[in-house]
Amino acid sequence: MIKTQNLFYFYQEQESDNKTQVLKDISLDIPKGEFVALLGHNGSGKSTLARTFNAILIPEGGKVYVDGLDTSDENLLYEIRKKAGMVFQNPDNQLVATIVEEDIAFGPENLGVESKEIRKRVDDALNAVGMRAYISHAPHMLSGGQKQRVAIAGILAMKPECIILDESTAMLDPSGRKEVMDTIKKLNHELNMTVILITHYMEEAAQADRVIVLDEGKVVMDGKPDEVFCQVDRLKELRLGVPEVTELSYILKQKGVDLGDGILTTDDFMDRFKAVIGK
Amino acid sequence: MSIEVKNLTHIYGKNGPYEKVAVDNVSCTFEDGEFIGMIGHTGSGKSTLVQHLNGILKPTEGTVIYNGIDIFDKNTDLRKIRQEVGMVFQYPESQLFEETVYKDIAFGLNNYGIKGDEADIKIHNAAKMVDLDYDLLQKSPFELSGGQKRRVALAGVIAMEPKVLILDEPAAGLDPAGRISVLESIKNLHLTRGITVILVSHSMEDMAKYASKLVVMNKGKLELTGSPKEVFKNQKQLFEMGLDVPNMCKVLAKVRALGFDVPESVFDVEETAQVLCEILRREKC
Amino acid sequence: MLGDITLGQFYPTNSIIHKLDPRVKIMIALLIIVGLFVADSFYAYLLCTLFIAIAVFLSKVPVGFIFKGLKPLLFIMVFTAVINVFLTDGRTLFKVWFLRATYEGVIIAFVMVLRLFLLVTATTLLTLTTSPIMLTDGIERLLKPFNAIKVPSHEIAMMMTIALRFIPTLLEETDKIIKAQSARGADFTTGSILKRAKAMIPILIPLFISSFKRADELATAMECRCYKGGDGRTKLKVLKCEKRDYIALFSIVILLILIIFLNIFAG
Repeated sequence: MIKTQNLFYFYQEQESDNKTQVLKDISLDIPKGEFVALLGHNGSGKSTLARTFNAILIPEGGKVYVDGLDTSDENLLYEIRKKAGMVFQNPDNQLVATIVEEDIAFGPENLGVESKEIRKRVDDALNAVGMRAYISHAPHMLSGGQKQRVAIAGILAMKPECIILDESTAMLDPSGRKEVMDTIKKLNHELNMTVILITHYMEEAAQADRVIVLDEGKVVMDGKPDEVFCQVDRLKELRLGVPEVTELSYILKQKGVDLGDGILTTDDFMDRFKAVIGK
Repeated sequence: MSIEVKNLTHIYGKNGPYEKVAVDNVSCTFEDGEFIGMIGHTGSGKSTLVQHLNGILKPTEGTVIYNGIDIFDKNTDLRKIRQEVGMVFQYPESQLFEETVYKDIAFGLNNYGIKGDEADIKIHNAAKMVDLDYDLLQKSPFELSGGQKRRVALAGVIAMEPKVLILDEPAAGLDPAGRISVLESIKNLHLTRGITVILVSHSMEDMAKYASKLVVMNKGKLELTGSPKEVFKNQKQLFEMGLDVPNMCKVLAKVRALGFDVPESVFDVEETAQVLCEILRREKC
Repeated sequence: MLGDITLGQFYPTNSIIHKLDPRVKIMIALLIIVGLFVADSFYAYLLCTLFIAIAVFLSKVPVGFIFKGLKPLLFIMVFTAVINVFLTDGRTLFKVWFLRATYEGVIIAFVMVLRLFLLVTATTLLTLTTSPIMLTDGIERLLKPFNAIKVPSHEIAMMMTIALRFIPTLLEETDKIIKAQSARGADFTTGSILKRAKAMIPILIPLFISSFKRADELATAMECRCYKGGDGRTKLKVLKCEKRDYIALFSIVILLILIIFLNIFAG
């Protein structure tokens, strides 16, 4: 679905000619239908990388292909943005209209979709994110989690194949985060949507199919969540954490109690614990 | 010396079409030197409640007594109260406005007529407290990273050397390293200066780690108060309020449900591992 | 703190006035303003009052709610009245100090206040019964014929929509910044005018900066949703005039004709 080849990106510093390398030689292949979590501390380049995925930023070296389309080709710009939609961090700063349904219609309206078809897409998108009851609400009256679900619906109405969430859960409370996570997992499972989730919450990353860790603009870890999170010390070096139960099993292992690798949730942990203790 | 909330009620948009009772007849006392954690679902009224403690919001009914002074009395100088009861709002970096970090931190001090060398010392102390490099002080706050801006905003309040510090979600939106840095600064401040801290947060893990007393709000009412150990015992009640308990409490509760003897306390990951090891050792014998 | 602004707030009910095409409502509001300025006789004003009263009744918006929106204008109304009562030449009614109230003045004052009152009620009713999005939609369509003379109808409507969308957000933000600066000991209420103006700086700068940031993020988000201006855009809701819209237009035309008729023959 998304493919990068030797991707480079530079950031022009203000007041000087210095260029900082933000992304260094990134080659990735994200197949269709995969749920990928992108991790890295602030300034690791993960947001920049995500922005090359829908041609907001054009690579300065190398290539990015979205469903085979080259993002550096200006004629394909809208085709690419239609395929790869993006949801941002601050829910307030991405909703355009004063009524939920009008906001969701914004994308398809821009694409010149027929009124009848827009109506259908708006209704489908609202159902998909479970916000049908709020169709004529004003966005500023909604909770953070609800706003983000509206933002997701706004992307869905463009019929994308991939949805990128740039720290979309960072400003939400725990229940809002859960709403968003449940929504994107559903989209991934039921519609086979490719999901790229940038997050600081390790518990969220643990729910993905694949975890990619960036540091200093380079991919430093890439694998299944259990493969990545079992490297507790390495992640701490990268100024990241691991889910608490993963850390718990890691400490237990050091103390000589090996419950096995790949424990990411409380349920995983309890299953292994029961097995070891014989209950 | 304490903050005493007395039968406090706050109603937004009273008699209007969107009337909402945010705080409903709440009474509680925060003693000097406590580290209080305030938890509650969004809209539970916790942010509204804490904004009364330094008179930023006026109650519809009831009052707040700070060290024996009714802060909503006509004769009380609220600005003087605000000097002693500091408050850090959610995403405080949005309040930065000065040309340099130094001047921004000085803003609060200048408002209270503290200038020159005295202010200089306090500014440097505050910067040190939040782990801000001195060479950042002459930079524009708008050039800094998100985490640094947050710490500048924190320093702006800390520099005023409040006796009580109220923080609404001080670590929201930061990366794991940034979170730890901010929370550890607050903890050190509490330990070294002995000030009262009232921390509003959604993270139960942070609460378990830092708070000495918890206050749980639900639908405008005070639902539970007590030590973390006492509060987190009520797992079912907390779940019903849409709240969570720390991960380790969940693990230990499940182990307890298997019939093992687990002490009723709140443990961090390290301690939980210790407890589980002991259980395993006993079982294996 | 800043939440009591009624003007421009939509009051949702399911009335016939709400269902009218926004273009028709805007036209009616404009025509009634014209009517009020043309009117020159007692009966003409009576007709206008009646027309607006019926519209208010049909809209099912509580009368008290409309009056709440008039409150900020109370001062202007009183001011207009006083000026007219005392500064119009004519027969003396009574004297206060050196000021002389006249019969003519009282009548003119009454007419002026009534005119102002009806004007504001009519426009308030328009915003109370038309959702902002419908309002901007209506304006966009009404301005479309002027595209030929380079009036950017789509851009105007888009800016209005975004402004309306962000007013509540920015009010909330302002409220928060005022609170945060007060907590740092800022004082906005005492001192000379100059001192108070200076005290606004810590509020205005953060507000500007955050507005620019919001604008920047919103622009990126809009680009991500394939926004490329008004060309080739379609609409979720297509405006269509129905029977009731024609009846409404017909009645305002009748009203205008009556007013002109009264001016000529009763004036």
